Amino acid sequence: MPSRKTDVVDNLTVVRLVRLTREGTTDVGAVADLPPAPAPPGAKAGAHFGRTAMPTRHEVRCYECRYEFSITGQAKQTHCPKCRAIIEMQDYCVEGDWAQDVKTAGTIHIAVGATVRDGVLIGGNIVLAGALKGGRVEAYRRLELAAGAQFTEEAIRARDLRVQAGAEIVLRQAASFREVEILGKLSGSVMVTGRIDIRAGGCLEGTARGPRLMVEEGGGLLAELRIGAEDDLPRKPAPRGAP
Amino acid sequence: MEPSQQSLITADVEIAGTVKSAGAVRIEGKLEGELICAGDASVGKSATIKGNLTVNSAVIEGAVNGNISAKDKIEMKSTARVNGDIKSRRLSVEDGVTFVGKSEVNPSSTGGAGAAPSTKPEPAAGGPKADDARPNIFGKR
Repeated sequence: MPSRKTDVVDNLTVVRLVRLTREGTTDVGAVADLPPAPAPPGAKAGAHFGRTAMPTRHEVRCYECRYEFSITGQAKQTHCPKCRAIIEMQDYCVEGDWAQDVKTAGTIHIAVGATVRDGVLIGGNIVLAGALKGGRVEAYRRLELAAGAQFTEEAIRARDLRVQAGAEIVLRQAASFREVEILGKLSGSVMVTGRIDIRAGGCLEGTARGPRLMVEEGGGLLAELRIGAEDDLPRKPAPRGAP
Repeated sequence: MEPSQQSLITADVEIAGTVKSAGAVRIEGKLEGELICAGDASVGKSATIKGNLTVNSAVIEGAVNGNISAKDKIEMKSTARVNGDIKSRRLSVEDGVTFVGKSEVNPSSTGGAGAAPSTKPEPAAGGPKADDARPNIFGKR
């Protein structure tokens, strides 16, 4: 006679086993054939957990040794697995005058009316809505430029750039980013290694160069473009032994 | 426009010269010359055009080596390869296009060469003033 063992021992099987034991049944194989337990009063019919909610995953870059790693869940601090430096994960908001260093893997929000006069602000994301009159900001993920942002190109450094709706940003020097998302107006020369994304209501003026472009209907484009041209695409490494 | 009114240039057709049409045109073959189209133009995936396009609106999926001027809209699909300048009132570009050229698309501007002529009839002399030209939601006045 074939054995009627359950293949998977999950929480439901355990609950059914407990019920079975209470009812005095000893046939373990009958567990799978048991009718479902009656729903508690007030419970919705068919309510069940469809999937397991996974904790949020964060990409973190150590601002001491630049090592990149990822953590899951929420934390105020973490350690760099490489250099063991303590990494702040909190978000900061700069209001008023500021002249000190800030280092965090979270978001730094330089609010409207705030003025950064000195110091280095390093963050995962940086939202610049105030003035940057001294010091510099470094966002290892995304820099968001809001309406009223004042800065010089030398003072900002970011992997991705986002121009918020209503912002009118002029870049006097050629700037290079991984990805650029434009919801406001961006004038200048932009070079990207990823994608330029012009959303409805956004406008790009000047020159742009990169492998990918996307324009939503309603987006403006008054620019000289070089998108996806073969000589601009990243080249495959030459095979070994090749001249 | 109904598909039956669309002129089709199939993939096995090559045309050298100017193509003029009052209606919609779909090109799947090769065209060496200009396309002037009062309607909508579709450039299929297998199409190759060497010349300028002057159209009402254009959907590009193939290769265009020339300038595109559209009164209303230019739509570049992911397979589009455009080598030339574009001028239009509206633009949509899918990820994956190849585009080398200048673009003049400014939806916020009301005028411009790309702007379509207004289809609104001019108010006749003695007609309602601009202040009275409210939208008539009840049909006939």
